[in-house]
Amino acid sequence: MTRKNSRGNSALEFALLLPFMTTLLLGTIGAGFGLLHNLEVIQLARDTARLYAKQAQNINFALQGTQDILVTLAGDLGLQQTASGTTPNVFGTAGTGTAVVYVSEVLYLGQNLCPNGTASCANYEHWVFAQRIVIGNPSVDSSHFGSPSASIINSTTGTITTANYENNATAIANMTGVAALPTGAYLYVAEATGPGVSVPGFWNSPKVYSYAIF
Amino acid sequence: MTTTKLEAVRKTRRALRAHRRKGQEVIEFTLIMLPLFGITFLTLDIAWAIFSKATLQWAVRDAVRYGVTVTAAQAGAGGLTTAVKLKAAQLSLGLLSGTSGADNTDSHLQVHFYEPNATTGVTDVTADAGANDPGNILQLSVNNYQMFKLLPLFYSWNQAPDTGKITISVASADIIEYSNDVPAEGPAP
Repeated sequence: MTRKNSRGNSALEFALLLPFMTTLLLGTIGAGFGLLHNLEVIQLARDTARLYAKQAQNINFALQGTQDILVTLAGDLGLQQTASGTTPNVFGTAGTGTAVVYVSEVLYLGQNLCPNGTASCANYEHWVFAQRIVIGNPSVDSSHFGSPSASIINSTTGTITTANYENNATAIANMTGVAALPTGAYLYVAEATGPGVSVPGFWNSPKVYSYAIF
Repeated sequence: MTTTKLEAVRKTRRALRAHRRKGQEVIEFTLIMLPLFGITFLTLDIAWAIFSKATLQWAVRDAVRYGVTVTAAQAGAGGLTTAVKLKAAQLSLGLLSGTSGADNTDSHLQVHFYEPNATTGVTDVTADAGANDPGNILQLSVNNYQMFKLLPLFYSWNQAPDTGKITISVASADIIEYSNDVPAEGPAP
């Protein structure tokens, strides 16, 4: 009687434990491979932001040659540029790739840029976008800092005019938590999103995201 | 039956039962051992892959950072590409090794120079004179690094185990800083 009982016990215990063990195992696999992709987007965001911040040395991400350097850096994330010879993908014609990089030039509108306050600058005391370039497939992810309206972005250079970033509400960047810089100083932001790993029901991370600010 | 005899019989039965149970435990352990080892080594392999990738990525990033600021005097006779590859190998915790330990001869390491701002396509100027002029972009990559698995993957009992290696590629790039003492390019790529 006792032996029979204990045999049933272990089968029951095993059955109880199985879902947890399976979840743990598949979760480990998912998290592990997700981490590998995460390393890649971190590297991509960092290198992009660093290059983007070197605008003084004439690095221009609106040009396809420069964007293609990012494609080589992205490795197997699947960052795809529009076909060679076509117009650079400034504000994002949907590509077929599985990754996207947003670069944004951001500045703070303070007293010395807007001496009259909100009278002349609707965006007074806000972080605003002065440039936005999208590389890759924008349907993968939207920018986590805000999306200036396509109508105010120059389709060749990606720049946003002073009048637009001072007054257009969509030019406001959500930079919560960023320590204040001297007004007028630029921040160079690069965001990268690539494919994550999903093990249905156990680990769900369809995309991995990282950003760097220089 | 006397009490002593009865006890002896009970003892024998107990011993037999214990013996049987021990046999059963061995079988159970054998059954559980394969999946257990599989799970353990899978976890170890994933961790090992993440470690290798993180290490190589950190190595190329730091080596590129070194490469864009290094002077001719620091880079030495081998030039920029040699100095950068050597730095990456030294930072790779032994993953990249050439003919004599951490040197610049590991075949996975490649240095490319690009000219930024081309209007169409990427301009690889690696083979050109003045490829490493300040303002150009230095890219260091580890291409198709073959990482061995700690245990081969067994997909099925009637198939040979998968002993193939895991391929890792990493790359980093940065713009070469202006300098009064630009190093020679060195052998490419």
